[in-house]
Amino acid sequence: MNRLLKLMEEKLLPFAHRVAGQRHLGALRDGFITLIPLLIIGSIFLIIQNFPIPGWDVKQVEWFGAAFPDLITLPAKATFDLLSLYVVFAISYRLAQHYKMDAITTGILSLVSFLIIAPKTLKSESGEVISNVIPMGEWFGSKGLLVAIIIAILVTEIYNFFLKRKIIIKMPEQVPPTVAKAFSALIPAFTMFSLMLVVSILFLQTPYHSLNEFIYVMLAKPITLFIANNVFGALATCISITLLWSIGINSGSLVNGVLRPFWLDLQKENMNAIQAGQPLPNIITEQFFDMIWIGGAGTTLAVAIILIFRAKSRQFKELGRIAGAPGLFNINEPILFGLPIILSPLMLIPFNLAPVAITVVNYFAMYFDLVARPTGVVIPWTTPPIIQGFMITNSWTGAVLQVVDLIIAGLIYYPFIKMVDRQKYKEEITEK
Amino acid sequence: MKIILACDAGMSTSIMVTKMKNVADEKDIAADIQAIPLKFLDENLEGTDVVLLGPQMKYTLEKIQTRLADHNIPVDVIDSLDYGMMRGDKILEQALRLVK
Repeated sequence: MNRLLKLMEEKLLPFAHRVAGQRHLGALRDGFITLIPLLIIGSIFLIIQNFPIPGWDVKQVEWFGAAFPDLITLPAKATFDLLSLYVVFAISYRLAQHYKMDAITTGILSLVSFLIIAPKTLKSESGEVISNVIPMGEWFGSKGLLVAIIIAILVTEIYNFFLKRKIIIKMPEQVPPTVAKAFSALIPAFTMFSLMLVVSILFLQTPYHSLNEFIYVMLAKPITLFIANNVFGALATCISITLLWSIGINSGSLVNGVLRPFWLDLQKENMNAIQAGQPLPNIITEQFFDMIWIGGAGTTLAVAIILIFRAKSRQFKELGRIAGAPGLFNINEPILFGLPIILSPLMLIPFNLAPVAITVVNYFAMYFDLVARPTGVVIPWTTPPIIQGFMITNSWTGAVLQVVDLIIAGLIYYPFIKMVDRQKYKEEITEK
Repeated sequence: MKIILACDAGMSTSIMVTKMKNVADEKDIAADIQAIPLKFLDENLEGTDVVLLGPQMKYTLEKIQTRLADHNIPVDVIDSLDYGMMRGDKILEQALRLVK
C-alpha cells in the first residue's frame, strides 16, 4: 500500500498537475470562475422571488403588482439566459492572456464569431419564426455553452496562429502601436468570420440547420445523460474528486471546471420548471455536490467535529480547533494536510467512502422526493453547511439532509480516526 | 524581507499568510509575505528573498531550485504537518533559516 502511494506520488501527481495546468482547461476554468459571481447575484433575485414562505407568490403580486415576478427575475434572466455570450468572451480572454495576446481584441473576435454561428431566430407561441433576434435563453443561454467553449478556443488558437506566423498587415513604424494592433487583427478576423459563415451555411444544408443544434444533439445531450444526470455519473464525479485529492491534487476546481457547462444546462432546466410551476426534472447539479462536500472535499467537517470532541491526542484536538472555523466555510486544507489524510493509507478509506455513501443517500432521497431537489440557483460554495442545504433546495428538507449526511460521514470516519488518534496519543505519552 | 508562498491556488495559503504576518509583527520582523499560484512565480521574483512551496508542490522542488539558482533565491517545501496545523511561527522560522 505504501509502495503504491509512493508510486502514485511520483508518477501520477506530476501528470495530474500537468493536466490541471493544461492551458485550455485552465482557460475554461478561469473563464467560468470570472462569471460565477454574476450567476450568484442572478440567483439571489430568483431566491427572493421563490422564497419558501407559504403564500409569498400571491402576496408579492398583491403588494408589488402583477409584473413583479417578471421584473424581479430580470437579473437572473440577463445572466443565465445570455450566459453563452459571456462565456465565449471570458474563455477566449483568459486563453489570450495565457498566450500574451491582446486579450480584449481576441475576446471580441470570439464573441462576433459566436454571433455569426448561433441561430438568431425565435419561434413565437403561434409557431411563427421571427428572424434577426437574439433571444433570451436558447442558444445564448446554458444550451449554447459547449459551442461557446469550442468557438472561444478555436478562434483564439487561429488568431494566435496568424500572429505567430505573422500573417498580418504590418504598419510602418510611424503608426502608433494601438492603431497598428487594430490593423493586425484584420486578416485573422476576415478569415475567421468567413470560416464561421461557411460553417453556418454548410450546417443549414443538414437536418440540424445549425452547428449549435448539431453539437447539442451529438455531444451535449449524450454527455449530460451519461456523465451528469444519473447516480453512476454522480458517483464517478464524487470518486474522481476524492481519489485525486488522495494524492494531494486540488481536484474540486479541476473536475467542476470540466463538468460545469453540462451541469449549468441541467440547472437551467430546473429553474425553468420552477417558473412554470412544474416538478424539478434534475437531481445532479453542481450544487448537489456542494451539499456533499460538507466542510470541504471528503465531507471533512465530520472529522473536525470528532477531533474537537473525541480526540485524546493533544495535537489532534488542537488540529480540530484549527480546522473547525475554515471547515464551516468548506475549506479543509488543515485536515487534509494536518491529520494527514493525503497519502495516508488508513485515512484514505473513509475519505473516499463517506462521500460515496452520502451521494447514494442524497440521490435516492431526492429521487423518491423525500428531499427537495436543487433548484438550480448558484450559491457560493463557501456557504456554511445546513444553511447551504436550505438555500440550494429552497426547502428545510435540504437542511435536514445535510445533518443526516454529517452523521453518516461521522459514523464512517469515527473508527478510523480512533485508530490514528490512539497511535498519536501513545506517541505523545512516550515522548514525555 | 520578501517571502513568497507558492502553491496551486489554495485557499488556505492565504490563511497561512495572515498567520505568518501576525508572528512577524509580534517579533518585529519586517516581512512582506505573499501567497501566489506557482504559475505566476516568475512575474513575482523581483526583490524576493525566499520561496516556500506548498506541501502538494513537493515534486516541483528540484526543477524550481535549479531555475532560481541563477537568482540566488533559496527554495524549500513547507512541511505538510506545519501546513496543516497552520503553524505560522514554524514556517516563518523556516523561511528565516533559508535566507541565512
